[in-house]
Amino acid sequence: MTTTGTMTVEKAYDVPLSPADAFELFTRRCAEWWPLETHACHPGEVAEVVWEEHAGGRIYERTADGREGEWGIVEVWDAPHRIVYRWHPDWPAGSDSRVDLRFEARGEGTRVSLTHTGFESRGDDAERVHEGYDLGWDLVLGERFAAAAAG
Amino acid sequence: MNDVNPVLDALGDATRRQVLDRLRSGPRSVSELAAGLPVSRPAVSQHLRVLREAGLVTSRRDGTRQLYRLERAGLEVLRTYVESFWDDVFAAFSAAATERAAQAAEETPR
Repeated sequence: MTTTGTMTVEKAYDVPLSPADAFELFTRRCAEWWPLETHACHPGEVAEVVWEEHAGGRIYERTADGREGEWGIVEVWDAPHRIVYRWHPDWPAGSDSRVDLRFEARGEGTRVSLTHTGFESRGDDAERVHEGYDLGWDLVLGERFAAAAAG
Repeated sequence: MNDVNPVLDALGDATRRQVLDRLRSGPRSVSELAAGLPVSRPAVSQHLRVLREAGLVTSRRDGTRQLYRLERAGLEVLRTYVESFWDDVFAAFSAAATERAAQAAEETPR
């Protein structure tokens, strides 16, 4: 009934750093460049961004006075090649998605490829998602829903 | 975040996603949507209201029935948001990477 093609947002960017340097810049040095004035749970107040460097680790921001905002949860940490993480920065409860980020040597630089996939829901919903019972998020970022177009 | 939050909020509920899923094959009435869902018809109506306010469904009267249909433009709001989010992030990342590469080149005597 529904398609399984959940992926829709794909991006690739070339940067003039080695994969190891690009990976480190993206994660450990995140707060040095991330547009925290706008793209944060506490815009303009973030003092630190933490990537806990292991599967299950949290990705979160912290303000100078200690308030935290969770961006997501690491699922795969394979430095300096790949990170997969759940992504739900300051989103309403229940909203979630997955980002797959790859760092590949390209000439003297690195190609960073981002794949942001279908919004699944957290917690108890997850199993139902895998059973194909709850596919609603597929259509959110998913491929065209041909049947609906005829409606 | 502005107007994407109502969409995220609406889509954060499993039942509402199921309702949307059922609308993929065409317009449906509340009764048709409620059939087979483990929630009451009034609950489905409530979910439809949230979906409509988020711009994800529209409704029209068909004789005595109210028919609901998927509104693709509402989904485009979220897609556009995600696209522009990463474009902004990577614009900043690329600038920082370029700066860092330039610094490294200065520090390395040729």
